[in-house]
Amino acid sequence: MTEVHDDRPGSAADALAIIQAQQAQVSSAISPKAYLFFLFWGAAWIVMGVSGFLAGIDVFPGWVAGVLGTAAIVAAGIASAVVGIRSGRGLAGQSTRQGMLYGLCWPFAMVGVSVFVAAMSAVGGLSSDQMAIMVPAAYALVVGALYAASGAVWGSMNNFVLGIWIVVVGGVSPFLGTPANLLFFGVGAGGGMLAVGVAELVRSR
Amino acid sequence: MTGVPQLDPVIHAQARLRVTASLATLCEGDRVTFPRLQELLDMTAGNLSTHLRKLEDAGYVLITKAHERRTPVTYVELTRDGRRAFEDYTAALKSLLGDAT
Repeated sequence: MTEVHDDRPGSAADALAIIQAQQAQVSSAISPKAYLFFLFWGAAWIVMGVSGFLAGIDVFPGWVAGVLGTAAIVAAGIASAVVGIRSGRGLAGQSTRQGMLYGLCWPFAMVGVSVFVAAMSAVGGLSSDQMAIMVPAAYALVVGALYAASGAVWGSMNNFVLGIWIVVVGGVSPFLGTPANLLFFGVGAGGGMLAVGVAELVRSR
Repeated sequence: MTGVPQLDPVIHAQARLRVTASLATLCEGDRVTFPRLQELLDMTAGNLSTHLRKLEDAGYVLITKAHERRTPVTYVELTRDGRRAFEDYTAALKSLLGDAT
């Protein structure tokens, strides 16, 4: 066996400082930075809501809003997956599995809502105005519930409050009629995510 | 071991203290691959395995080898004894510093 030269910490205070520095570095490296998710998705929702609203008041055609919204969702989805996978690299065990399964709830829930709203149009025969009222509300209710649940499980009051706020936005938005509901959805829910994201980013510095 | 004789000598060395502190940051029951641990600690593979062997000999660390997609993967985790030893060690430090926690 190789002889190890044991370099002892100079004092108890040094040892404690080593522990604190090391643990802070490791926990920041292995836990995904929640503010990145909020910033990605806050920006995506603002793009979706505002472009939908602008199409609604005939600033540009509806397909432009569709393309912008889809591009924003795809970009935020890829960025979130990269951040989540990178921080979980090389880790295994119970809490890692818990985080991974929670992460998987998102694509499943989002695809589920998308299929549902597509069916409402194709099978349910909803008009485009009815769809414009129903779609943002459906996404906001599911997304808000997922955020609130993550806040409850991982003890983040920010996530919890933001989730409840997004549920409220989802529930209230239909009463505004379209296209005002789209603006409220984008600025209200997306703006809420950006606000929490910026607050957490500042706190982490 | 001058000055602070009551501190666990297995943990009370800078490199092993950093290794133990890192592993204790993971939730109980979680483990990390050798290369990721190496990256988190910024230590050479040889240096890390030497210190891990000492921790393993003391029963503080469990090293398991698995195969993932035919590639051998080495996982490292703190044992229950290791976690307790680390907690005792930090408690001893705090009492040395006059912290009443």
